[in-house]
Amino acid sequence: MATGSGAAAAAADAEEKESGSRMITLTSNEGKAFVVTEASARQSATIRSMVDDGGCVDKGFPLPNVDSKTLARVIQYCDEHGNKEAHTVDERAALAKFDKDFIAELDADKAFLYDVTMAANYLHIQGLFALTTQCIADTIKGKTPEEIRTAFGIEYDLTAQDEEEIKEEDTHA
Amino acid sequence: MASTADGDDFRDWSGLPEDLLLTAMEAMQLPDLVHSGAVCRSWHSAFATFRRLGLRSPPHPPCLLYAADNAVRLYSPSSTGAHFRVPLLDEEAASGVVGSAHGWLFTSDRDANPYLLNPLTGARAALPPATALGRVRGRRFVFSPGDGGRRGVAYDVDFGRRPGGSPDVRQVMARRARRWMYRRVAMSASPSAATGCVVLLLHMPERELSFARPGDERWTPLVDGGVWASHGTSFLDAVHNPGDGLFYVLQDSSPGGDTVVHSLDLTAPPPPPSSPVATMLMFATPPRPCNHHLKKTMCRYLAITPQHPQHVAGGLEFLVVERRWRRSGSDDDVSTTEMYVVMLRPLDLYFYEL
Repeated sequence: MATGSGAAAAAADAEEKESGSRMITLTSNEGKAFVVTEASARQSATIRSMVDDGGCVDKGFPLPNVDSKTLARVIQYCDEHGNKEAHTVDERAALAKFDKDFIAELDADKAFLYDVTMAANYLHIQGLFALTTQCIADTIKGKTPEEIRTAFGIEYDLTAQDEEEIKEEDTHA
Repeated sequence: MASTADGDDFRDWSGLPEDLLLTAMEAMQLPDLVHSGAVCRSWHSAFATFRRLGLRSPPHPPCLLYAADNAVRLYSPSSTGAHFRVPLLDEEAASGVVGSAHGWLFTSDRDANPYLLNPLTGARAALPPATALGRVRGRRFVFSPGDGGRRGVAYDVDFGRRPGGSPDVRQVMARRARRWMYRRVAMSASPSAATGCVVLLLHMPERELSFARPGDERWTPLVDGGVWASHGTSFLDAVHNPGDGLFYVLQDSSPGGDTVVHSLDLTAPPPPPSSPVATMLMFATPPRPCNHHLKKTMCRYLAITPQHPQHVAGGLEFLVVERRWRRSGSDDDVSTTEMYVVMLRPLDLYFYEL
């Protein structure tokens, strides 16, 4: 995530070092607590703004929309991108590999992809959200509407009027 | 969440929040986007929103866009070779399509005012109105029930042949102007591109050239300084060559004369200079069968050969595609009888200012 250059990045780094020692507790909708570094938690714009608003860092943050399994994986992403440096080629390659493996896992399990997408959206984790929406787009790539329905377990509910409106694809292939 | 049979693994993908789906759509290639819009009701509605908001998707591989049956059709050789029918948000737009470039259509509204339309997103870019064309003298609302029931917007168009000569103003109804006024169009870039978009328009009544940028108030006519007039009567086609950023226009040659192509540099930032730099390229016209009785029903297109797009004007190779056709029965029933592709051989170069 970090571009590793420029005044803004330097300022962010300085801020991270200053506040990086603080730990923040995130609680899943099942009541399970996860303790993370502030640098990791700041990957989420939602949490970042609550922390910056002088919010209840000590009390922790309940996340009623996220279950434990999903939260654990989302935190893995945030740890990777929040705690690790990405200045050298090797560091960046390691992050890229992490993202690639993460995507592969999301791709294999559509229910998991759904949960992580929703969590990334809710927590405003921009990098993760981009990964998940790209994964959705990749799943759709090259598929017919019927194949898309199968891939996501979507039921056909278009009315005759919708179909008339769509009048989609004439395949002369 | 409607949790049905699948238990733990079921996720309501059709209930995905719309803004989230829109973000995914922004990452999709065009055929996938169209297919997504046909999956279920909520995705269909998200697709409609995507188009209404004019959201942008990433650069697409080339698609062939053509107008047919009052709709725009899209052929995507890169995906599955499928044809798509893209319903336009404005039905009127399909019948006015003159040309397309960079994913945008040049079309006109009910009153024959031209604009650019992105058929997929529904985004529009304004162009100067019909009244801002050099030979359009005025605009009126006509209502004369006794005269064949003509009603609607009409334009006063000067058909006078020579500039400065006696005017010959005739009335052209807007619905006719939509099909008649705008002949060919070339665009330097997408209107959303940072480099700036110039639209070169070949239009009636004399198959003349004007250009404008989206948002301009007037069309700037390319008035001939004598060079054009001496080499023929009217223009046949216009193309833009991204390799050198120049427009190329094909001019009708006098019978037996050489073929003439002009290059035009219209890239100067606004305000446009009064004299865009032009170069005339002359070509020997290779002999080809000439059926005089068919001469009126043919049209020609200019194409630049793709292998050396970076060459400067003199090094480019041009093709002229000539299509001859026959009208059978109704106005729209046209069948192509012959096609010729002619490679132009360079004769000479002239540089001049307009």
